[in-house]
Parts: sequence; C-alpha cells; structure tokens
Amino acid sequence: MIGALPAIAVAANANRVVRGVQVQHPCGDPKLPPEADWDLTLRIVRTALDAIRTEVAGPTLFEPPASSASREAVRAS
Amino acid sequence: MAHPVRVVHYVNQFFGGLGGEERADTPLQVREGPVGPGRALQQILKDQGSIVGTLIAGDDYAAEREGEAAEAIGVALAGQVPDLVLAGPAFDSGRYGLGCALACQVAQSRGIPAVTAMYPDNAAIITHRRELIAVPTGVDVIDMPRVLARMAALGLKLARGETLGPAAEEGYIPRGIRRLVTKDRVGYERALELLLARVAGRPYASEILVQQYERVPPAPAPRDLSRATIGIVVSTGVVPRGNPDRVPGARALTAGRYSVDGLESLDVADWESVHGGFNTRILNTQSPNYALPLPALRHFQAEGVIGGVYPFFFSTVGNQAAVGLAREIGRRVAREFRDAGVAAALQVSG
Repeated sequence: MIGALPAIAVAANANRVVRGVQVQHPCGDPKLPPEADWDLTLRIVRTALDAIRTEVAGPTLFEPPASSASREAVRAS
Repeated sequence: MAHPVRVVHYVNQFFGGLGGEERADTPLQVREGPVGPGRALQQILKDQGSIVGTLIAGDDYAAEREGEAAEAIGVALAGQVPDLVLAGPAFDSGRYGLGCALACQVAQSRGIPAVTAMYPDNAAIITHRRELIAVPTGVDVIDMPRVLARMAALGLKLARGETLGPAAEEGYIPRGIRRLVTKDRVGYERALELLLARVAGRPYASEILVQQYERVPPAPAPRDLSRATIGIVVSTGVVPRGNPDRVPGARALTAGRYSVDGLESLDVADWESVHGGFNTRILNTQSPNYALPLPALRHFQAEGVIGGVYPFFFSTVGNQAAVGLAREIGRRVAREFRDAGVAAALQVSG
C-alpha cells in the first residue's frame, strides 16, 4: 500500500507499506513543477511495484528514493 | 424457575443442514425442537432449558432482506413463545452474524432476552455492539462446545431475570456501555503502578483497551510482474463525479466498484474524492490521480514492467472505517481479484 501516514499502516500490520507524500496527495506533489511531480509519482509507484516483488517477513516500510537525479550524483563521486 | 426455560435457537442455512452458499437466500423456516448444533446445546441445557423450536434463515436472506426477515422472525417467536433466544454461534461469518443480531434484536423488542456468539471483529458487532449480548469466539468452529456452554450459561441467567455484571467478568463482548464506579485509589497512583509493573515485566491490566490488529502472513513475492495484472483498491474515496453509489465520507460500510478499462488517467471532470477526513481540494480541482496513480501504472504497463491493470478498481473511504467492515471489504475484493487472476493489489490510503 501507498500511504502518507506509514506509521499507522505498519502499526496495523500492513505488510508492504510505501511512504506517500501527503494525505491530500499521497502519490505526488502538486507544489513541484509538472516534470518533477511526474518523476516523483513514478518513483513512488515503482517503489510499490518493487515492494510487491520483495519477500518480507512482516510489516515493512519501503521509502521511495529521494530523487533519480540525486542518486546519480552520489554514485558519480 | 421450576419449569425448564423455553428456548428458540436461530441458525443459518449451513448449520440448519440445508446446504452451503447455494442456499444462502433461503427464507425463514421454523422447525420443532433442536437442529444441528442445537442438539449439543440441548444436551448442555439439560433439564434447565428446552429448545422448543429452531429458526433457520439463509445468510443472504437475513443480511439483505432485513425487513422481511425481521417480520418473519417476529411471527415465529409469537408462535413459539420462548423465554430465551440463542442465536448462532456465527464465529467470523459476517452475514450470519448480522442474521444473529437481527434475531436477537427482534427477540429483545418483544421482551425476550437473547444471547448470541461471534468473533469480536464480526461486522455485526461493529454495527450492533450496544444491543447485543455476545459470547466472544475465535474463528474456528472446533470451539463450538465451549461456546455453546457459555451461551447457555449467560442465556439461563438472563432468562431467570438476573442482571449481568461487566463484560470482562461475565465473559461477553463489551458493549461499550460506561458505568461510573469509584476506585479505591486516584488515577495517577494507578497509572504509576501500571507503569512500574510494565517496566518490571510484571503482569498488568490496562484500564483502557487498545485495539490489537491481527497479523496477516505476507503474500509470497512474485519474481516478475511483466505479465501480471495489478488490481487497484483505494481508501481515498475516489468515485465517479456525483458519487452515484453514495459512498459516505466517513464510516463507510462498503466499497464502490468502478471501471478504468481503457482509461489512461482520471480526469478531474469525471472523478472526485468523497473522503470526509481530509481536504480533497487538490484531488477534486487538480487531479484525482494523486490518490489513485493510474497514469503511473499505465506508464509501467506500456514499459512492460507490469502486464496490465485490472479493469475495475474498488473504492471506499478510510475515515473512521471499522476494522471488521474493512476486513469484509478486503475479503470481497481479494475474492474477485483472485478469481480474475490478479497477481497483486495496489492500495492507496490518505
């Protein structure tokens, strides 16, 4: 599941929990420019699909990566 | 009482020996004497109680044709003139639980005490907690003899005109009725005692009971989703504009089922969120896709990461949803997804 209040989901024993952005817009951020917003949405949903493909033993929180761009920068240095 | 208590027992089509799901629409039938588990119940009652009749009603009939069922039960009770009605046990069956609740309510409205038994998270307890005296059960029918004994004991007490003590003492599901009592020590002293006991690992009894959530074994992870169908479930209340099924903004009892077949994205002109627990302005004026990421899923479908999206999504509102009812919704959704070969479900909460 994708949810903006993952602590509640984990406490309720949901097994695969992906952190969403905010209650009012869990799967994206309207304050971002459209391209960045879409990138964020894809990262969140990709994390959810990855979570589905991950064996878990119990309630597990999955954090979408901060950004595709920042990932590259870290690896390059 | 000198003479045995006259008991009427209410059961569903399965325990009444009529059949399974295919007989769930059976209207009320009245039989003389005990039927099915009623026979064990009669043995437990011995000479203290006599099951003079059994009411058998199909699960769907009782849960969906409430008015008719209530009337039929009333007529049957008027004929049998019992001192006590025992209903179930329904264990974890939601529809059977509702049928038992109905039987108890009709009995009580005619001044006849009634006792039932079911799993504490049964949907019937969620909706009728205040009105029912229900023995708590697990989900396993193997518990039947113990449960019947408890039902009989509580029932006989009520039939004899005795008042019941608090739920924890008498062994029934708490009705949520608060009575003021005076404790021998003030709150902060009792709180400190609880804290010290908990820290020291000694047993303690919380004065306020916190909901425990059951653990569900995680589904095994599919390795590859490229040919998998993903099913969508949301508790963000996304519905077609106008809310044709009148999904409520809080305390929802059911989920709507809507088609996204052939849709790439949810247009704000055609969809809205009716969730009453948060500000839905962004969803309703900019994009409902923030609460149901259809475009992203279509993107992954086009890229071959997933095989496809199940053409129907289920939508309810998570605002103050009762756990038992949420579980019933989840079960129905899971049944349809499983029967359709959906590989995984994506759920979105606020």
